[in-house]
Amino acid sequence: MSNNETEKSFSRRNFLKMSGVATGTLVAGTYLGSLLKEDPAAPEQAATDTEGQQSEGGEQAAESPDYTRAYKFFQRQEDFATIEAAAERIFPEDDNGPGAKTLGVAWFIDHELSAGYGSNSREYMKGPFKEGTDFQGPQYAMLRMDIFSEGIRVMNEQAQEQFDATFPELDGGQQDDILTQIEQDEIEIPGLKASDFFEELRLVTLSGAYADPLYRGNIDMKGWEMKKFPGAYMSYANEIESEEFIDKEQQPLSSHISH
Amino acid sequence: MAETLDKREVVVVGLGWAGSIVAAELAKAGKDVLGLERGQEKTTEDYLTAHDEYRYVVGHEMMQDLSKETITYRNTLDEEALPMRRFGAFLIGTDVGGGGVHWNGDTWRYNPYDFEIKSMTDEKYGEDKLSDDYLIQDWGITYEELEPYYEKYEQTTGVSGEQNPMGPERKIPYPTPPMKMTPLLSDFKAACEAAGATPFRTPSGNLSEEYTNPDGQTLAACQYCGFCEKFGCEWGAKASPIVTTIPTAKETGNFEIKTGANVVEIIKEGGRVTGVLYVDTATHKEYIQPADVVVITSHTTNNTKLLLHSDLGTAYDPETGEGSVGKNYCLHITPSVTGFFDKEYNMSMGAGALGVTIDDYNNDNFDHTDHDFIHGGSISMKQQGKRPILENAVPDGVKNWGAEFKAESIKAYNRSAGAWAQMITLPYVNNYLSLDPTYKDEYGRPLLRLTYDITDHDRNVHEFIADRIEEVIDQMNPVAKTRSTLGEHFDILPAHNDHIVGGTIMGADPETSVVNNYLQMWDEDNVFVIGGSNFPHNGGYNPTGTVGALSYRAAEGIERYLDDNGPL
Repeated sequence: MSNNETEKSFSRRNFLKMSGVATGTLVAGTYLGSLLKEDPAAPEQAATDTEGQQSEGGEQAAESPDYTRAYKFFQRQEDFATIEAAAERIFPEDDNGPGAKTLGVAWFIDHELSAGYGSNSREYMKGPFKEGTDFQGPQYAMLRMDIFSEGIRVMNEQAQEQFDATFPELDGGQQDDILTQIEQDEIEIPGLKASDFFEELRLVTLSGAYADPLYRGNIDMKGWEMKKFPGAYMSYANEIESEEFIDKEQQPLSSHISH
Repeated sequence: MAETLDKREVVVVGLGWAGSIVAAELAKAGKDVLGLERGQEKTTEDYLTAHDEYRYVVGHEMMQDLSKETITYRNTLDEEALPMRRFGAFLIGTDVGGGGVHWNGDTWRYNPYDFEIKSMTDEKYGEDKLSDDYLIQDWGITYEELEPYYEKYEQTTGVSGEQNPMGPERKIPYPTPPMKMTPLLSDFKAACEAAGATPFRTPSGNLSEEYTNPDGQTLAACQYCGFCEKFGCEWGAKASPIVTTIPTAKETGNFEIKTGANVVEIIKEGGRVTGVLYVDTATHKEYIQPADVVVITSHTTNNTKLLLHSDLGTAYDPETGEGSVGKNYCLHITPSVTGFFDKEYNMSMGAGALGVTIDDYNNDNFDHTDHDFIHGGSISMKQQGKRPILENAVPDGVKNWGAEFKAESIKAYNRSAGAWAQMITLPYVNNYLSLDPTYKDEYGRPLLRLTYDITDHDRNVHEFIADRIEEVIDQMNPVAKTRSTLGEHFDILPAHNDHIVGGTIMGADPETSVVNNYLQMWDEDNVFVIGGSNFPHNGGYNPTGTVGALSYRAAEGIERYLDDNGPL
């Protein structure tokens, strides 16, 4: 670690210590002020690049490979491919830009299912579990990770039954057929309403497409770029009154951290 | 066996706006104050790297951990209530500063009509305007009586705003001028005028300029970063307890905070409240904290739950109409219309309370003789800063996934905006809070049970207000628009509106209210209960300004009580 870095983190600690009693002026003048400068620190490329982009980007040869592309939740490649294909149908590649697959959404889902999201860690999970009305919200004893496992199993079972292939092998239209049947509760998933699984899948897909790249989806902030969402800026005070639309370069949360 | 601690003069339960205002005022007056907070201590430094929609919005980072405690919910008396297992309809904050940290900053005064709604409605429209099942009642205080406390709260927070042309004349201007104007809000303002309404700037607790309050706390100028609601402000530019009342209380040397202290019961011995029982959330060890005065300042749901667990006051019974604790649960219904435009706006830029409002269809600002409802709601368009995961508005007829959805939601991201109302709901005989017979919290105590459904009255207001919003949006020449609808029953899952009130309501009559107009319990001189739970109905504005005013009023009452020791 260079002296410079030591000094930087030291002064940041000092700021943090002071900020409990800091006035607005003090805050604006110190650490936060420095974040307002143009050209914030670039994101860590290695963590966000896909394999394909790495092999194509010849000048980055010295870059370390992306070690995060392994399963934390999924065990079978086919299950991962099923979720990846379904997410791509929910958020497909088009003229605007990449779809869920290129954005790394399936990796995002894999990581999230292995974490608090997959085990409903901040939700009330005490029994008794009873079937409620349509207005009382989900009442499942099943954890989200188990709901996804069941959902994936049923998607492939239906793909075999209806089209004699696995879900990832189907063409887009056939995949949409099965997803629509799930969305409209025309297919049964044991233990839950199929449409509740679909809604989970839809939200987690959008989350993977648009969450900060720190979560491993939204690769290279391409999801944000399509929406012209600038990302994690600290201030628009000098731009918000502008009559013209301002298309800003995307900025990740990692630029707010002293590295 | 619970360990008994040394007695304190005042113990405050929950350190959001209400608790921290009481703590600051009493500590300044030289009283010994202990604040018990179930969450953790937070300061602006906790929000330096928090511009993360997934963690803070989708993941509810700043909200109560529902795995430990939640509510149960049902629509009608004959249903079995089931747990709200995840957040949806409304959010409940936690940690020091509470909802006062993650709020948007809209800082309103309720209208004079709100405080005397029963007598003014009866007088103008007759006693038969509403059926007896709507339990509207006067608040036991008038706007004039509460006005000095509103001023105090506004001075503490530095609110940015201008005179509401439809509201009572302000005796003193807002501490800071309105926030910046944006092209979207200019277009909305012009549309309001074209529709015959009288727009003005939404009063905002995100400050237009740096401001030092009478306690010497300085708030910074808002940076319009677009990460406001559900986030803490790293700039200290959003009025919140952690940059105002908490430091003020601490600077006196008379205030101590104990975090990770979840109060589960108010203790009564020999016919008198003597303190509280709390659980250390890390060790689950129980402590008895004796105090001369107990001030309950938690969320609406938890204020009511604590009184019911402690058998204080009389629980409301919807069958007989007797009792008051748990009565008059109300929320805000949010009629809305979203317009889709050709013009591209910088929708990612914004601030929580950056907006333009019309009040023409709120309070008794228009004649209700020919309407089958009373009151109404404030209608605003706000530029809060869109964030991409959950902002996916598409015109009607576009399904919510697939190729068309992707293209339309991306196109609409910077080309659509909604206007919505903070619409009153009236208290209703069957809408109430009680204890659940089945489900328990982390500490083995019954969960609070909510029984609620949308009333006919409120459906009528919703349609009327949505029509008015649509008239304004039409003036913005939208290429498409979508309009909110109310379902067959209220649904606990979809996000709706966080402003839930009632349960420990204030009033002039001990038979029909829980606390007097100093928020002192009728039945227990040394217990004060403060928060949205005091509202006998929800007015047509965001509630925080009124919680703040009531808290200053209560602080004055508690100080007097500590000196005189009697009912106020």
